[in-house]
Amino acid sequence: MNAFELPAFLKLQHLRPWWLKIAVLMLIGYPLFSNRPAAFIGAAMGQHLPETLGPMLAWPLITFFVWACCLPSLGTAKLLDYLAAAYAMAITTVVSGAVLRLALPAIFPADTADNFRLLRVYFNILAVFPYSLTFLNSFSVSNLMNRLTRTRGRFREAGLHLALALRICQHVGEVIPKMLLVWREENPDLLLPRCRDDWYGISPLVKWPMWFVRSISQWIFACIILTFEPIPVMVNEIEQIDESRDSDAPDKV
Amino acid sequence: MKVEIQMPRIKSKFAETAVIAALTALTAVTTMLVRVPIPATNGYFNIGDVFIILAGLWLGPRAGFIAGAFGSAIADAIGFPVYIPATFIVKGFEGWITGIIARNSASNSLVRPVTAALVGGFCMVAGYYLFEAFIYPLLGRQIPMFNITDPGAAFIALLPNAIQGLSGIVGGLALWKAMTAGSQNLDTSDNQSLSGKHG
Repeated sequence: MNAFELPAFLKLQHLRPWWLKIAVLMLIGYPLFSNRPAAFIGAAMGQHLPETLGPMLAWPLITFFVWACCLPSLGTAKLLDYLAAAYAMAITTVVSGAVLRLALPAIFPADTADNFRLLRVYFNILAVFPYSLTFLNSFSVSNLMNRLTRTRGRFREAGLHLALALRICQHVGEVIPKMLLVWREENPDLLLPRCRDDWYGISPLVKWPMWFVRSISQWIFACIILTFEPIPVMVNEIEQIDESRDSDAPDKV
Repeated sequence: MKVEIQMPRIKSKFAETAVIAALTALTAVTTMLVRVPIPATNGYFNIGDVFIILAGLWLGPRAGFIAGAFGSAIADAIGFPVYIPATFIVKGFEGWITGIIARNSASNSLVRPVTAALVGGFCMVAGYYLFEAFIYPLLGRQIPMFNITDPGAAFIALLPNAIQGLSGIVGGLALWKAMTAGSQNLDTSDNQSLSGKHG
């Protein structure tokens, strides 16, 4: 797919100074963490639309707004990758909740208001997931490390630890969307249990929990491997910067 | 000959930061991966405790606290922000207490790590019950946002929370054991001093 590029000045990574960048990011994220914007939009739309439809449309509108703000910084390809992961999380959350309500009503009792909340959670996940990864990727670790190489004093070491933690979190953000692909491409039998010959004749009551536990455990193991794989290289890089402090220091006689 | 097994020791301070950051991120990811909403309390069941227990057993109380408090709170921010304060305290305490009990368990006995994981899991269940039954209803009188649960709902949530705690204990111990076994193999086959003491 040919991903079109939006003008560079719209990218949040280029916003300076850093505190302005944080302020803009917090402004974009405000509707996700406060009920006020959704309530305001819902009330405004409720004047022209049926009673429940107005508040219900407020969340998709906020979600589209957040996606539109993230698009210039991420680009279409990356945004779609993140949305794939967000959709998988949102759908599993909503579907598992709905299925268990039907299967175990004593443990998961629910009413209409709970259904409305579930819908809100669905759109919230779709919006917050790409937003949080945009937030993380808006800060350049290499720029931070370049600055730290020129810095002296006690904040340098804390800065290096922060840069390393940020880099790891950015890396995990890159790993999650890939994990969906790994799951689909590497383990098609896990996704299609009905195609497995060795499970023929086994009761679905046994088959499905087995599939669930195996899929989750394989996902976790793959996630651990992909997450920990580049850590030695990242640590080595940081340690070299830290050691350069001693070599840059004037010789004491 | 008695063989004592220890988890791989991380000597570099930057390597420790990197592993703690990775475990925190993995806690957030696994918490978000499987989420089953519990309508009674507006909370949800998840499997993120696996990495909290692992962090406590592997790297001690500080890592357990950071992975539990920050990893789980980040996951709560996506979809369930009202639970951030409760999660920060409860999950942070879960990782911290696991690390405190498991600390310095140099022998190959499983008693201490299993006890640590069980106490950690129990603290999680008890902590959420405390917040859902008493603290949130109390806060809800002043701040309507927290008025989402009551003692009855908290009682209903005890079972899903107990299943969550149990899955965290089993998964965390299994991962910890797998890593211990890995380090033992490395030690005996390659004669490296990454882990293990032979005496």
